[in-house]
Amino acid sequence: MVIAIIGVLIALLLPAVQAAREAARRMQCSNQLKQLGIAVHNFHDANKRLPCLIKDPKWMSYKRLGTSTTLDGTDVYNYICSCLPFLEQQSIFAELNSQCQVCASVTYDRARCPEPGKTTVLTDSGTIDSPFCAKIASLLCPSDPNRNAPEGRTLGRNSYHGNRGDLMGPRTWSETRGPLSDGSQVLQELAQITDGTSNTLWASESCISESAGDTKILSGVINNTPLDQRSGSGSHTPSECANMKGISGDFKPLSGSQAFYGNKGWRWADSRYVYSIFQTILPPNSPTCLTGGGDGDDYYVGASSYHKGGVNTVLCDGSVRFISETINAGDPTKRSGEGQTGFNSANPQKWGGPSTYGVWGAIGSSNGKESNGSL
Amino acid sequence: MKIFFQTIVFFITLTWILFIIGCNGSSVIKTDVVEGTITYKGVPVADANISFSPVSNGSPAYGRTDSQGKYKLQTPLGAVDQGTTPGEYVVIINKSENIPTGKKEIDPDGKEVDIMTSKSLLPTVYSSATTTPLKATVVSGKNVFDFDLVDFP
Repeated sequence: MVIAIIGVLIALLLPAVQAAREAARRMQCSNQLKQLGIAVHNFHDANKRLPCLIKDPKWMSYKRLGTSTTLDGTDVYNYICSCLPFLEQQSIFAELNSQCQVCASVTYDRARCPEPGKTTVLTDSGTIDSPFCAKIASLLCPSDPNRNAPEGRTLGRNSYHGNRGDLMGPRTWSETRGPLSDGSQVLQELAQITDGTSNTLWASESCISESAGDTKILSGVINNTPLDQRSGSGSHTPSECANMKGISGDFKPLSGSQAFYGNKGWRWADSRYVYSIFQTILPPNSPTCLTGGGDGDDYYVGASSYHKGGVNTVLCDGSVRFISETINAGDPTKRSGEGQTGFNSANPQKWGGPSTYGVWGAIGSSNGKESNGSL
Repeated sequence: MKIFFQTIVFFITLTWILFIIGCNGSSVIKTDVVEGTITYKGVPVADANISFSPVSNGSPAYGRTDSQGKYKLQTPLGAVDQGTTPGEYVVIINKSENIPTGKKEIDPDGKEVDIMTSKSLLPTVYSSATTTPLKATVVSGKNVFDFDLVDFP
């Protein structure tokens, strides 16, 4: 009798222990985002500006002589690369700088500069492991089962994607609705976040893909979804990505030339959307869709997590918030700003007014003239 | 004494059960089924995207047609394929494919890739909330809306 009662009590206790473990992991995750927020502020103190989405002047000064204007190498070093010294990763930062100095002094030698997509760097004395192979534990959400890259020479992964605002579009647009910009065209300071740093997101977590053919909504990616907003050949809305959501956490069956492209979060140093950028358009834990066939293609990467019911985020003031997946995310059947006075159909990136995507879009945009009393 | 002991155990157990069940409410909202068929000049259109954009009341909803041109709507906070809430909507329909622009770029991995653009396979007038002539009013219960698209002069 007594043993049976003890048995029942233990059976009741075990799920609670598991829940406590997940609560601890969620807390560790939010702590890591806090560290990231503080690192961004320290970067701002030292440089009087925010780190950039792409083409950060810090790295562009190392640009190889004679290379073309297309994206390669140091162009795509992301905000994490810039913040490394403030994330207790001075050794990787120093290694990156020393290799870039070599590369900048050599005319048109593609092989020398560490590229975010390559696992080795060619030096005078042979190849060495790229600094980007380093695994940075503070960039990995402990609840993510795919946080560890396969053993061997592989690139380090990343859970924390920077905020590009509430606009679907390519990273090369100089206009930005979020705090991350193209550094060759716009440099942003905290003072330019006119919605207020406590009303604007800096980064959110997004689940890391399990494999290239990942079919899960949280961690997978669909490519070849025609979402290009600039073309005059039909205007596309975020709902075209949202309707890929099927039952029990899987995507709906793909159509036409669409395919699964699971590279999300597989490189911590690469600023292309699928590796380290997200947008506040569809609510957290919605599908992720790219326009073309590869990681060079942009468009929509969503926030997602394995924590029940929402995602951890860090705001531009360094505070950490848990955002519910049922947050008001406005109307995904409209393009950003569509239907409002001043919306430019051919150039939707020119929209400078309040977000179309509810509170979620409002906390994503850094100068959309919204106050977010309800957050 | 034995009954007293059993009562204590019963209440401890009950407390644990309630503690573990907690207040986990369902976040899914109540919706009404919306479905139908999309045709272009009388021919069913496969893989077309359809969106219901609310004019008054309503929750934004969307769906995609299957190989027979049939669609079922869903809304962000509702269950998959279970429609949307009653209200007035304008209806947006589009279908596009990606085509190469002819321009290429070198991506950071050193591969040469095509820069793509999208080309509409249906009249573009239906593709925007501001230009579409289609409207629908969703009511309680099951809703069926069939749309036949035509070329505009």
